[in-house]
Amino acid sequence: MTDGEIRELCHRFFDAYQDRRVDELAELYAPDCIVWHNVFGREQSGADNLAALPKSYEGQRRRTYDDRTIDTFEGGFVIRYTLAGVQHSGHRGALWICIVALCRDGRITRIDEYMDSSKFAAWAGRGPASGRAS
Amino acid sequence: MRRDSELLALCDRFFDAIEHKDFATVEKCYAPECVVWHSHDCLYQSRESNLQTLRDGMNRLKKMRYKNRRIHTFEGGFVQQHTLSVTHPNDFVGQMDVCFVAYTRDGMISRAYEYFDTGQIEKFLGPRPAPAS
Amino acid sequence: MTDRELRELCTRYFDAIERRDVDAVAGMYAPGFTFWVNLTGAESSREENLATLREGYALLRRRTYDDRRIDTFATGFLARYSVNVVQHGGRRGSFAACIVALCKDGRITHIDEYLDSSKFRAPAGEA
Repeated sequence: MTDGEIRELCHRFFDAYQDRRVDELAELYAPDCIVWHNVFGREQSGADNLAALPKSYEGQRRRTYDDRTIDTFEGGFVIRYTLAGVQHSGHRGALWICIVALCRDGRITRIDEYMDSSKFAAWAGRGPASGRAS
Repeated sequence: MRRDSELLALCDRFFDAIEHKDFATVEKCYAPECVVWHSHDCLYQSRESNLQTLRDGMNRLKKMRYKNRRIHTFEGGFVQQHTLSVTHPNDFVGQMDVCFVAYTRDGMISRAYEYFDTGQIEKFLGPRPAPAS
Repeated sequence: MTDRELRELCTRYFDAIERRDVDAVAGMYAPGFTFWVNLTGAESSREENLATLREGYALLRRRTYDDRRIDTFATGFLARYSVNVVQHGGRRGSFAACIVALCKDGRITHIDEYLDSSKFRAPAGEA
Protein backbone atom coordinates (compact mmCIF):
# COMPACT_ATOMS: atom_id res chain seq x y z
CA MET A 1 0.00 0.00 0.00
CA THR A 2 1.24 3.49 -0.71
CA ASP A 3 1.78 6.24 1.85
CA GLY A 4 -1.42 7.92 0.64
CA GLU A 5 -3.49 4.76 0.86
CA ILE A 6 -2.24 3.99 4.35
CA ARG A 7 -2.96 7.52 5.57
CA GLU A 8 -6.45 7.40 4.12
CA LEU A 9 -7.07 4.03 5.77
CA CYS A 10 -5.84 5.43 9.08
CA HIS A 11 -8.16 8.46 8.89
CA ARG A 12 -11.06 6.33 7.71
CA PHE A 13 -10.52 4.00 10.66
CA PHE A 14 -10.42 6.76 13.26
CA ASP A 15 -13.28 8.71 11.70
CA ALA A 16 -15.42 5.54 11.78
CA TYR A 17 -14.36 4.89 15.39
CA GLN A 18 -15.25 8.45 16.30
CA ASP A 19 -18.60 8.39 14.54
CA ARG A 20 -19.45 4.94 15.95
CA ARG A 21 -19.85 3.38 12.50
CA VAL A 22 -19.19 -0.17 13.60
CA ASP A 23 -20.25 -1.61 10.23
CA GLU A 24 -17.58 0.41 8.48
CA LEU A 25 -14.97 -0.62 11.06
CA ALA A 26 -15.84 -4.24 10.34
CA GLU A 27 -14.89 -3.63 6.70
CA LEU A 28 -11.56 -2.14 7.71
CA TYR A 29 -10.43 -5.01 9.94
CA ALA A 30 -8.89 -7.90 8.04
CA PRO A 31 -10.55 -11.24 8.90
CA ASP A 32 -7.42 -12.30 10.83
CA CYS A 33 -6.94 -8.94 12.55
CA ILE A 34 -5.43 -9.00 16.03
CA VAL A 35 -5.73 -6.18 18.56
CA TRP A 36 -3.28 -5.91 21.48
CA HIS A 37 -3.53 -3.41 24.31
CA ASN A 38 -0.56 -2.65 26.56
CA VAL A 39 -2.94 -2.09 29.46
CA PHE A 40 -4.24 -5.66 29.31
CA GLY A 41 -1.15 -7.27 27.82
CA ARG A 42 -3.14 -9.69 25.75
CA GLU A 43 -4.37 -10.09 22.22
CA GLN A 44 -7.95 -10.25 21.08
CA SER A 45 -9.41 -10.89 17.66
CA GLY A 46 -10.72 -8.01 15.59
CA ALA A 47 -14.16 -9.60 15.81
CA ASP A 48 -14.08 -9.62 19.61
CA ASN A 49 -12.82 -6.04 19.61
CA LEU A 50 -15.71 -4.96 17.40
CA ALA A 51 -18.25 -6.89 19.45
CA ALA A 52 -17.21 -4.97 22.56
CA LEU A 53 -17.59 -1.56 20.90
CA PRO A 54 -21.31 -0.84 21.33
CA LYS A 55 -21.07 -1.30 25.09
CA SER A 56 -17.83 0.66 25.17
CA TYR A 57 -19.53 3.59 23.43
CA GLU A 58 -22.19 3.69 26.12
CA GLY A 59 -19.53 4.80 28.57
CA GLN A 60 -19.17 8.35 27.24
CA ARG A 61 -21.36 10.97 25.69
CA ARG A 62 -18.74 11.59 23.03
CA ARG A 63 -15.21 10.65 22.03
CA THR A 64 -13.05 12.40 19.42
CA TYR A 65 -9.68 11.32 18.08
CA ASP A 66 -7.74 14.57 17.80
CA ASP A 67 -4.26 15.87 17.10
CA ARG A 68 -3.59 12.90 14.86
CA THR A 69 0.10 12.68 13.94
CA ILE A 70 0.62 9.89 11.44
CA ASP A 71 3.81 8.38 10.11
CA THR A 72 3.62 5.58 7.57
CA PHE A 73 6.08 2.81 6.89
CA GLU A 74 6.13 -0.18 4.59
CA GLY A 75 3.00 -2.06 5.54
CA GLY A 76 1.59 0.15 8.26
CA PHE A 77 1.48 3.30 10.28
CA VAL A 78 2.17 4.75 13.69
CA ILE A 79 -0.29 7.31 14.98
CA ARG A 80 -0.07 9.47 18.08
CA TYR A 81 -3.29 11.17 19.07
CA THR A 82 -5.38 12.69 21.81
CA LEU A 83 -8.54 10.81 22.72
CA ALA A 84 -10.80 13.56 24.02
CA GLY A 85 -13.90 12.41 25.88
CA VAL A 86 -17.01 13.97 27.28
CA GLN A 87 -18.58 11.82 29.98
CA HIS A 88 -22.33 11.68 30.55
CA SER A 89 -21.77 13.93 33.56
CA GLY A 90 -20.29 16.59 31.27
CA HIS A 91 -16.79 15.98 32.59
CA ARG A 92 -14.11 16.43 29.92
CA GLY A 93 -10.99 14.33 29.92
CA ALA A 94 -8.25 13.19 27.59
CA LEU A 95 -5.94 10.26 27.05
CA TRP A 96 -2.77 10.35 24.99
CA ILE A 97 -2.40 7.21 22.95
CA CYS A 98 -0.06 5.69 20.40
CA ILE A 99 -1.00 2.92 18.01
CA VAL A 100 1.23 0.93 15.70
CA ALA A 101 -0.89 -0.70 13.01
CA LEU A 102 -0.04 -3.16 10.25
CA CYS A 103 -2.00 -3.00 7.01
CA ARG A 104 -2.49 -5.15 3.94
CA ASP A 105 -4.74 -4.75 0.90
CA GLY A 106 -6.64 -1.81 2.31
CA ARG A 107 -7.33 -3.36 5.68
CA ILE A 108 -5.80 -3.43 9.14
CA THR A 109 -4.24 -6.73 10.16
CA ARG A 110 -2.85 -5.78 13.55
CA ILE A 111 -3.21 -3.01 16.12
CA ASP A 112 -0.84 -2.51 19.07
CA GLU A 113 -2.25 0.16 21.35
CA TYR A 114 -0.29 1.97 24.09
CA MET A 115 -2.10 3.92 26.82
CA ASP A 116 -1.44 4.95 30.41
CA SER A 117 -4.05 3.37 32.66
CA SER A 118 -3.08 5.62 35.56
CA LYS A 119 -4.91 8.36 33.63
CA PHE A 120 -8.24 6.47 33.46
CA ALA A 121 -9.62 7.94 36.66
CA ALA A 122 -9.02 11.53 35.54
CA TRP A 123 -10.43 10.64 32.10
CA ALA A 124 -13.62 9.34 33.69
CA GLY A 125 -13.92 12.12 36.23
CA ARG A 126 -13.36 9.83 39.19
CA GLY A 127 -11.18 10.39 42.24
CA PRO A 128 -9.25 13.39 43.55
CA ALA A 129 -7.52 14.09 40.23
CA SER A 130 -10.88 14.79 38.62
CA GLY A 131 -11.48 17.85 40.79
CA ARG A 132 -14.94 16.65 41.73
CA ALA A 133 -16.21 16.98 45.28
CA SER A 134 -16.90 13.24 45.78
CA MET B 1 15.31 10.61 0.64
CA ARG B 2 14.47 7.56 2.74
CA ARG B 3 17.46 6.30 4.72
CA ASP B 4 16.07 3.11 6.21
CA SER B 5 19.36 1.34 6.81
CA GLU B 6 20.78 4.38 8.62
CA LEU B 7 17.63 4.70 10.73
CA LEU B 8 17.74 1.04 11.66
CA ALA B 9 21.41 1.34 12.55
CA LEU B 10 20.72 4.42 14.71
CA CYS B 11 17.87 2.69 16.52
CA ASP B 12 19.96 -0.42 17.18
CA ARG B 13 22.97 1.63 18.22
CA PHE B 14 20.95 3.68 20.71
CA PHE B 15 19.28 0.81 22.50
CA ASP B 16 22.31 -1.48 22.34
CA ALA B 17 24.41 1.28 23.94
CA ILE B 18 21.98 1.55 26.85
CA GLU B 19 22.11 -2.21 27.33
CA HIS B 20 25.90 -2.15 27.26
CA LYS B 21 26.07 0.88 29.57
CA ASP B 22 27.95 2.77 26.86
CA PHE B 23 26.92 6.27 27.88
CA ALA B 24 29.19 8.00 25.36
CA THR B 25 27.42 6.31 22.45
CA VAL B 26 23.99 7.02 23.94
CA GLU B 27 24.86 10.70 24.17
CA LYS B 28 26.05 10.83 20.56
CA CYS B 29 22.70 9.44 19.40
CA TYR B 30 20.87 12.52 20.73
CA ALA B 31 21.01 15.68 18.60
CA PRO B 32 21.86 18.87 20.52
CA GLU B 33 18.23 20.00 20.36
CA CYS B 34 16.78 16.63 21.37
CA VAL B 35 13.80 16.53 23.72
CA VAL B 36 11.93 13.46 24.95
CA TRP B 37 8.18 13.46 25.59
CA HIS B 38 6.62 10.93 27.92
CA SER B 39 2.99 9.88 27.98
CA HIS B 40 2.76 9.90 31.76
CA ASP B 41 3.19 13.68 32.03
CA CYS B 42 2.97 14.90 28.42
CA LEU B 43 6.01 17.08 29.02
CA TYR B 44 9.14 17.43 26.92
CA GLN B 45 12.16 16.44 28.99
CA SER B 46 15.39 18.20 28.04
CA ARG B 47 18.30 16.35 26.49
CA GLU B 48 20.43 16.81 29.62
CA SER B 49 17.70 15.68 31.98
CA ASN B 50 16.90 12.61 29.91
CA LEU B 51 20.56 11.67 29.59
CA GLN B 52 20.88 11.99 33.36
CA THR B 53 17.87 9.70 33.82
CA LEU B 54 19.45 7.16 31.49
CA ARG B 55 22.83 7.51 33.23
CA ASP B 56 21.21 7.00 36.64
CA GLY B 57 19.46 3.89 35.35
CA MET B 58 22.64 2.51 33.81
CA ASN B 59 24.50 3.10 37.07
CA ARG B 60 21.86 1.81 39.45
CA LEU B 61 20.27 -1.11 37.64
CA LYS B 62 22.14 -4.37 37.33
CA LYS B 63 20.77 -4.95 33.86
CA MET B 64 18.62 -3.22 31.25
CA ARG B 65 17.38 -5.20 28.27
CA TYR B 66 15.18 -4.15 25.35
CA LYS B 67 13.46 -7.36 24.41
CA ASN B 68 11.19 -8.27 21.51
CA ARG B 69 12.23 -5.24 19.49
CA ARG B 70 9.98 -4.49 16.53
CA ILE B 71 11.15 -1.55 14.43
CA HIS B 72 9.50 0.30 11.57
CA THR B 73 11.29 3.10 9.77
CA PHE B 74 9.62 6.00 8.00
CA GLU B 75 10.73 9.22 6.37
CA GLY B 76 12.61 11.10 9.07
CA GLY B 77 12.25 8.61 11.89
CA PHE B 78 11.41 5.25 13.32
CA VAL B 79 9.16 3.56 15.83
CA GLN B 80 10.37 0.76 18.07
CA GLN B 81 8.10 -1.37 20.23
CA HIS B 82 9.85 -3.36 22.93
CA THR B 83 9.54 -4.84 26.38
CA LEU B 84 12.00 -3.13 28.71
CA SER B 85 13.26 -5.61 31.27
CA VAL B 86 15.33 -4.25 34.16
CA THR B 87 17.09 -6.06 37.00
CA HIS B 88 17.01 -3.96 40.15
CA PRO B 89 19.75 -3.96 42.83
CA ASN B 90 17.55 -6.27 44.93
CA ASP B 91 17.33 -8.68 41.95
CA PHE B 92 13.67 -7.87 41.26
CA VAL B 93 13.13 -8.07 37.49
CA GLY B 94 10.72 -5.42 36.24
CA GLN B 95 9.01 -5.32 32.85
CA MET B 96 7.29 -2.60 30.87
CA ASP B 97 5.90 -2.61 27.31
CA VAL B 98 6.99 0.58 25.60
CA CYS B 99 6.42 2.27 22.27
CA PHE B 100 9.25 4.67 21.34
CA VAL B 101 8.69 7.02 18.39
CA ALA B 102 11.77 8.96 17.25
CA TYR B 103 12.14 11.78 14.74
CA THR B 104 15.64 12.19 13.41
CA ARG B 105 17.88 14.86 11.98
CA ASP B 106 21.27 14.30 10.39
CA GLY B 107 21.56 10.79 11.76
CA MET B 108 20.60 11.65 15.35
CA ILE B 109 17.43 11.55 17.42
CA SER B 110 15.97 15.05 17.41
CA ARG B 111 12.67 14.41 19.20
CA ALA B 112 11.25 11.29 20.81
CA TYR B 113 7.84 10.26 22.15
CA GLU B 114 7.65 7.43 24.67
CA TYR B 115 4.39 5.68 25.58
CA PHE B 116 4.01 3.25 28.48
CA ASP B 117 1.51 2.38 31.23
CA THR B 118 2.36 3.86 34.61
CA GLY B 119 -0.81 2.20 35.87
CA GLN B 120 1.30 -0.96 35.91
CA ILE B 121 4.35 0.70 37.44
CA GLU B 122 4.68 -1.91 40.17
CA LYS B 123 5.41 -4.52 37.51
CA PHE B 124 8.38 -2.34 36.55
CA LEU B 125 9.61 -0.90 39.85
CA GLY B 126 8.59 -3.71 42.14
CA PRO B 127 5.99 -3.82 44.91
CA ARG B 128 5.82 -0.66 46.98
CA PRO B 129 6.71 -1.11 50.64
CA ALA B 130 3.65 -1.18 52.91
CA PRO B 131 3.15 2.13 54.75
CA ALA B 132 4.33 2.15 58.35
CA SER B 133 1.37 1.61 60.67
CA MET C 1 -5.99 19.16 -3.65
CA THR C 2 -6.22 16.28 -1.22
CA ASP C 3 -3.75 15.50 1.56
CA ARG C 4 -2.51 12.54 -0.51
CA GLU C 5 -2.00 14.65 -3.67
CA LEU C 6 -0.15 17.35 -1.73
CA ARG C 7 2.15 14.86 0.00
CA GLU C 8 2.90 13.09 -3.29
CA LEU C 9 3.64 16.43 -4.97
CA CYS C 10 5.97 17.44 -2.14
CA THR C 11 7.80 14.09 -2.24
CA ARG C 12 8.11 14.17 -6.05
CA TYR C 13 9.42 17.75 -5.84
CA PHE C 14 12.28 16.94 -3.48
CA ASP C 15 13.05 13.65 -5.24
CA ALA C 16 13.31 15.48 -8.57
CA ILE C 17 15.63 18.12 -7.14
CA GLU C 18 17.81 15.37 -5.64
CA ARG C 19 18.19 13.54 -8.93
CA ARG C 20 18.81 16.85 -10.76
CA ASP C 21 15.75 16.44 -12.96
CA VAL C 22 15.07 20.13 -13.59
CA ASP C 23 12.54 19.31 -16.29
CA ALA C 24 10.48 17.37 -13.76
CA VAL C 25 10.74 20.26 -11.30
CA ALA C 26 9.63 22.65 -14.07
CA GLY C 27 6.61 20.42 -14.69
CA MET C 28 5.58 20.83 -11.06
CA TYR C 29 5.74 24.63 -11.11
CA ALA C 30 2.59 26.46 -12.20
CA PRO C 31 3.13 28.93 -15.10
CA GLY C 32 3.11 31.95 -12.77
CA PHE C 33 5.21 30.26 -10.06
CA THR C 34 7.13 32.58 -7.73
CA PHE C 35 9.86 31.79 -5.23
CA TRP C 36 10.84 33.76 -2.14
CA VAL C 37 13.80 32.97 0.08
CA ASN C 38 14.50 34.53 3.45
CA LEU C 39 18.20 34.96 2.61
CA THR C 40 17.53 37.77 0.14
CA GLY C 41 13.95 38.68 0.90
CA ALA C 42 13.49 38.94 -2.86
CA GLU C 43 11.02 37.12 -5.02
CA SER C 44 12.17 35.34 -8.17
CA SER C 45 10.25 34.08 -11.15
CA ARG C 46 9.77 30.53 -12.32
CA GLU C 47 12.53 30.80 -14.90
CA GLU C 48 14.93 32.51 -12.49
CA ASN C 49 14.41 29.78 -9.91
CA LEU C 50 14.91 26.98 -12.42
CA ALA C 51 18.11 28.66 -13.64
CA THR C 52 19.38 28.96 -10.06
CA LEU C 53 18.63 25.30 -9.54
CA ARG C 54 20.57 24.27 -12.66
CA GLU C 55 23.55 26.48 -11.80
CA GLY C 56 23.61 25.32 -8.21
CA TYR C 57 24.24 21.69 -9.08
CA ALA C 58 27.75 22.47 -10.30
CA LEU C 59 28.73 23.89 -6.91
CA LEU C 60 28.35 20.68 -4.94
CA ARG C 61 29.09 17.00 -5.42
CA ARG C 62 25.77 16.00 -3.88
CA ARG C 63 22.80 17.44 -2.05
CA THR C 64 20.01 15.38 -0.46
CA TYR C 65 16.80 16.40 1.29
CA ASP C 66 16.38 14.15 4.30
CA ASP C 67 14.32 13.76 7.46
CA ARG C 68 11.36 15.19 5.61
CA ARG C 69 8.42 16.10 7.84
CA ILE C 70 5.44 17.08 5.74
CA ASP C 71 2.25 18.72 6.93
CA THR C 72 -0.51 19.62 4.53
CA PHE C 73 -3.20 22.24 4.69
CA ALA C 74 -6.06 23.16 2.40
CA THR C 75 -3.98 25.12 -0.10
CA GLY C 76 -0.53 23.60 0.17
CA PHE C 77 2.10 22.00 2.31
CA LEU C 78 4.79 22.70 4.83
CA ALA C 79 8.00 20.68 4.64
CA ARG C 80 10.73 20.68 7.29
CA TYR C 81 13.87 18.82 6.34
CA SER C 82 17.62 18.50 6.59
CA VAL C 83 19.77 19.49 3.63
CA ASN C 84 22.82 17.28 3.53
CA VAL C 85 25.60 18.44 1.22
CA VAL C 86 28.83 16.89 0.08
CA GLN C 87 31.25 19.39 -1.39
CA HIS C 88 33.61 18.58 -4.24
CA GLY C 89 36.43 18.28 -1.72
CA GLY C 90 34.48 15.67 0.23
CA ARG C 91 33.54 17.89 3.17
CA ARG C 92 30.04 17.17 4.46
CA GLY C 93 27.59 19.56 5.98
CA SER C 94 24.01 19.55 7.11
CA PHE C 95 21.52 22.26 7.92
CA ALA C 96 17.84 22.54 8.72
CA ALA C 97 15.45 24.17 6.27
CA CYS C 98 11.75 24.67 5.76
CA ILE C 99 9.47 25.56 2.88
CA VAL C 100 5.86 26.65 2.81
CA ALA C 101 4.39 25.86 -0.59
CA LEU C 102 1.07 26.97 -2.07
CA CYS C 103 -0.41 24.56 -4.57
CA LYS C 104 -3.28 24.44 -7.01
CA ASP C 105 -4.46 21.93 -9.60
CA GLY C 106 -1.55 19.58 -9.00
CA ARG C 107 1.20 22.20 -9.23
CA ILE C 108 3.13 24.50 -6.93
CA THR C 109 2.23 28.18 -7.35
CA HIS C 110 4.54 29.71 -4.73
CA ILE C 111 7.31 28.70 -2.35
CA ASP C 112 8.64 30.53 0.70
CA GLU C 113 11.98 29.02 1.68
CA TYR C 114 13.71 29.52 5.03
CA LEU C 115 17.44 28.80 5.35
CA ASP C 116 20.31 29.81 7.60
CA SER C 117 23.08 31.23 5.46
CA SER C 118 25.58 31.07 8.33
CA LYS C 119 25.71 27.33 7.59
CA PHE C 120 27.04 27.97 4.07
CA ARG C 121 30.29 29.46 5.26
CA ALA C 122 33.27 27.26 6.10
CA PRO C 123 34.27 27.23 9.77
CA ALA C 124 36.95 29.79 10.68
CA GLY C 125 40.39 28.75 9.50
CA GLU C 126 39.16 26.66 6.58
CA ALA C 127 39.32 27.72 2.95
